[in-house]
Amino acid sequence: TSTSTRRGKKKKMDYQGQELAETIYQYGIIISGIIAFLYGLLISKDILSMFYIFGAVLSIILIICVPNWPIFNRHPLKWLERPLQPITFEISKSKFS
Amino acid sequence: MYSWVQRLNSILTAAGTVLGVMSLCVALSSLFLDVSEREVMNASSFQKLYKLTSLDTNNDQALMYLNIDFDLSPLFHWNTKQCFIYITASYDTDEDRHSGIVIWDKIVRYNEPKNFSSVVFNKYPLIDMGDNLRGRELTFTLSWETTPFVGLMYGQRSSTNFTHTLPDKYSKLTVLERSARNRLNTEYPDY
Repeated sequence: TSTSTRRGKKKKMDYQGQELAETIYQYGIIISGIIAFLYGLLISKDILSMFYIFGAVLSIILIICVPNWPIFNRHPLKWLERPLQPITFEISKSKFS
Repeated sequence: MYSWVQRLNSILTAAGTVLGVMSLCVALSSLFLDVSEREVMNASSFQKLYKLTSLDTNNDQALMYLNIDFDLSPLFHWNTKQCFIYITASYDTDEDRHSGIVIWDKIVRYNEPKNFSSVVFNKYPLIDMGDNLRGRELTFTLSWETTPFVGLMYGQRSSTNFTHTLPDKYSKLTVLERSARNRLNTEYPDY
């Protein structure tokens, strides 16, 4: 049937989900930066370990936030139904034509 | 945040910004972690003069063996990548000139052993501009410059140590060197 082809928006993230993903990565990256810096400065005394820890936490945050997980789609948007008949317009005659 | 591409872009740029700030903090921390010059162990001494000769250009050249013994472990905190260490032989000449010549250097990296104890020969020959080396007192100074991972290289430190006085006369040339010099003098006569 003609409704099987959806040209509108696919089911991705809703607005609450986007806000959740944004707060997760913003605070997560800052906290991971602080933790990695303090670990390298105080515990391991090695600058490479600082970058490794930051990279590891960054990978976890990427896995959490980038793909469209269904957790972020709990309040999905309702789009209008696609009409079956094509919509036609009539151009009305104006005063100046 | 409407598509995964846009989220990937935002996350990676935020990570890049945080990396920049972290690198700045690393560079600032190295200001507090650098040590003074006195903490570097340095027990080098002069071993033996190899020869003191006059070159064909009428410049003096001195070659020698040095007994190098240093330990750079206090210099290496988490932000030092490598340390360039070198030995300078310096002296004053009669014409109010102070000359310093680097005769040996070494690069010590952060993942290599940081102490060195061995007898070295001149890596670079000590050549004077003129004939001022006979009877001259040389002062050997061990200096270093550290290269950080992140931050500024703000210059050398040094610890002065041993001196040695060169003999008053040139060393005796060997038979081969004398014959080579004679050959040079006869092959290129003055025009």
